[in-house]
Amino acid sequence: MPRSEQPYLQFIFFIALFYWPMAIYADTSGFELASAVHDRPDGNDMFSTGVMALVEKGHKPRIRQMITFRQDRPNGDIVSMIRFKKPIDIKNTGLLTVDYAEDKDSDQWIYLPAVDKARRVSSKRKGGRFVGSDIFYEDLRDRKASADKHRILRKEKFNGMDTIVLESIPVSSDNSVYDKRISWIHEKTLLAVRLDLYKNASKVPIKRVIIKKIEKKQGFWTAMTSVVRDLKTGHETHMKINEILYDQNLLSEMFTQKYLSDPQREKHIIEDLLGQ
Amino acid sequence: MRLVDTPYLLLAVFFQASLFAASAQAASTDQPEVFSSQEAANNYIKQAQAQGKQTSLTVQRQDKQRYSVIFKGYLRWSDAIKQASLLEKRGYSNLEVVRGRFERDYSIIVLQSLNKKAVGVTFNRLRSMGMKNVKVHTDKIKRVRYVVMTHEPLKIKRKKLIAKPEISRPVHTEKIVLQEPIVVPIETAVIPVEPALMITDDELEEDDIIIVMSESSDITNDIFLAEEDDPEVRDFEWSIDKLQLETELFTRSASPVDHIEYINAAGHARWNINNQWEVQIAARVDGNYQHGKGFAESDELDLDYGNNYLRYRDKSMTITMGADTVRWGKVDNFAPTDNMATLDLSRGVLYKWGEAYRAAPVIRSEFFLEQGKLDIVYLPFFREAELPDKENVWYPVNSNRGSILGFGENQQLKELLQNGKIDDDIDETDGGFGFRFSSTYGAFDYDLVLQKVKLSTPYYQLNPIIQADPAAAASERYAFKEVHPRSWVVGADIAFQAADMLVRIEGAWFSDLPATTETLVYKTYHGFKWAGGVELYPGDGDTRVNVQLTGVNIEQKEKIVDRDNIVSLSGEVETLFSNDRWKFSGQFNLGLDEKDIYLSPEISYLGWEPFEFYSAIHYLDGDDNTPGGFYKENTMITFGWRGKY
Repeated sequence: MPRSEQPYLQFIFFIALFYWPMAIYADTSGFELASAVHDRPDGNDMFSTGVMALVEKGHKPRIRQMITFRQDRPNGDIVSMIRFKKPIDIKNTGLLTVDYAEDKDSDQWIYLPAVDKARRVSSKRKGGRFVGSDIFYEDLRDRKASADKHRILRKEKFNGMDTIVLESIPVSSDNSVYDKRISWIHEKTLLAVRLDLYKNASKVPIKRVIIKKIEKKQGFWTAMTSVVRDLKTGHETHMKINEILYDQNLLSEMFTQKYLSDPQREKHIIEDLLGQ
Repeated sequence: MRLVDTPYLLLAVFFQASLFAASAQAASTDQPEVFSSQEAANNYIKQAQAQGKQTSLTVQRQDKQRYSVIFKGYLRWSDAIKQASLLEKRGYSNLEVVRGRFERDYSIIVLQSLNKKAVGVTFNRLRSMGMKNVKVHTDKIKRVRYVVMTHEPLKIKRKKLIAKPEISRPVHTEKIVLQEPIVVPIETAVIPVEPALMITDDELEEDDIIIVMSESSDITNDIFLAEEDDPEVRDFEWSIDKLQLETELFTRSASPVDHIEYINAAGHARWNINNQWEVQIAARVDGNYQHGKGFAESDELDLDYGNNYLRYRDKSMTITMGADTVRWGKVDNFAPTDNMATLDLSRGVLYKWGEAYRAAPVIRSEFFLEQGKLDIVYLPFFREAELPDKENVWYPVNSNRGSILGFGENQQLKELLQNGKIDDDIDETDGGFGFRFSSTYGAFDYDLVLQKVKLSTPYYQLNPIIQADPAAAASERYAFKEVHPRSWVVGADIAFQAADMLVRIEGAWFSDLPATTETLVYKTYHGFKWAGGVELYPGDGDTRVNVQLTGVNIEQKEKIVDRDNIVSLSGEVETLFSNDRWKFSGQFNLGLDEKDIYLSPEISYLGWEPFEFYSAIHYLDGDDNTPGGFYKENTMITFGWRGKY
């Protein structure tokens, strides 16, 4: 399935960060590149297990372990669910998101095991750190092509790889917490192997995302290891995918409150997927 | 078929379609000779032809899984060499230091073999030496074998093979083997052998391509190695859900208590019998050690059951039997439809949202429908709200002062309370039932609720005999009795997003809310509870604000001593800072119809997960008939630790 209908969390947890889809009104080639990035194939559904390490100098790293499910629906909607497994104080907390193909707000629910409740949360939240990481809530969502204006800046080698440097500026300043994104698009994989994020009219980026390892899994290029660095504080969020499976014919009902509110329901599905 | 499969298919078709086979009627055939190189095969063929024999050469190509024990990710050649030297000292020879695919790093190959077992032995040995960064890498290699058959001269009948267009998946493990021998005319005995496939990135199969831009730092590698295990998928699991130690220092000079030490532990064990059945046992221990001069000293250690149940699941329903905590309602702290669960009032205002509950016996059926969920709950045994000891500062009746939570100043009540007793025995009966239908309509989540339940919050009814004849107080066993009226409840709630806020609205009509007339007669009246709240993130940052307006209206027909029209503003503010290592939170409740104040700022250190250290202030004040006023002497500072395992 073309990726035009589905980006959210396509690269497991938060790797949507690296797609940075784009649109363009002034620069057609920029738009085409942005569209190509956005439309990259990533399967009809995806399951992954991953680890996130919050690293700060002088402190013991904090670990977040999670599983992620994603499914592209025939109507173009993208549904995804993140379930935390570690640390224990957020174990089984779940986040269910529906990103709609049409231009309307996403829906989002969180399951809080401490009170055994699934509740709607504001999907308009863009800023704010996701579980203490350097990832903002906005980074978790699909960003439609029309949200930004794009311009190809140059071609450049990055880490020895051929990349196209693309500038993306929000069409409307209130549709993003960032003023500007500059991404280094790896021509072969169409992944943004580096991404600089600007905020508050700063001339220097506030955050940088680097993909450290890419693997082709079941024919889909996948960012397996990456790091998000807060350039101001030095705080880093390292992410690694342990296992990723595409096109597993996941059940649609896995992306409902029935499953969100009952983590035990997905248990045997995970067992099957992991071959346990 | 995917594009990446194509080269393999084409190769197979090419070979099979372009070759000719023979249906040979050989008088005799020698043993096949197998060679790994084309040169050796050619030499053998020449010798055989010199002896007048006819020869045939079969070229066999096979995809083979090769295993490599490898150390990867050395950015500097010198680092790789250093590590290789270390390995040599430990007895490993024939090491190979190579550049990575994209020449970004160096790897050390310790062993390459088609024998998985041999590789596993080496890998495990290196791991046991503490070398955590050793990996086993797999790749596919093309193995070409040249099989030469010798024959006596024979008559050749040629036929063209028909190409087989399909190769079953997975292609990358398919052996491409020529099934019939190639009959080579003597004059063309040596045939050119096709070169092995040139493998490019595009032709490589899945999982073969790895691009490493730069290795993670050592510290991160260690972290990830430690966390490589996949999420727990176990049939049996247990956990300590909560551990808490807290000391509470009372600050008001008029406070009857100096300090309280509180301990709490709760845990559960769960067994997933199969995909459908699950059993859980859970328990908690609460200890309250109260010291002071005004109240009797109170040492209280209680063991209580938690959510102990047998649960059945299938595609369309979940059935739970045992003890569970059924929380309904959408609004925090004050949810009018939240009447199925048993409240925990043993610590007064000190619980946070969601904590002030105890498990209660239930039979619960959750049916998952096309457009929502129907939740049916029956409470076979009523469990009233959990209260502390009567000597505890959070008990809702203060015999010393002669007052009851929610009642205003009343001289007659005061005398009765100071001289009489409270009967807290309740009748053993069922707790009632409830239905809730939950659904989503567009961007709106809503619930419709119908209940007939005994309200778990206690109410204190004056002994009717004393009410009729106050002089009987001296002879009656009790002055007040704890009661829990049974009420019909019809309610609804809704949640939706508006602008950047999440809005939650909830309301419920009650057939029987308890009250006491000015003549101290206990009655129940119709009433309505409502709440509306918004949740928002000011500045779109890490600060969460939840504010709600709540109310209780009792439709009394005569004057009552209770508050008949309560309106409050309550909520919570929470902000994380210093990379989420610190948290400031504050809870508040302000009465709008009466002076009723509760403020509770708290600072917590979260940096040592999964533990939390905290300190909080709980400030209470207000009119006598409000919680703030009733408990105002309980203003305190707390210090505590809580965590999970």
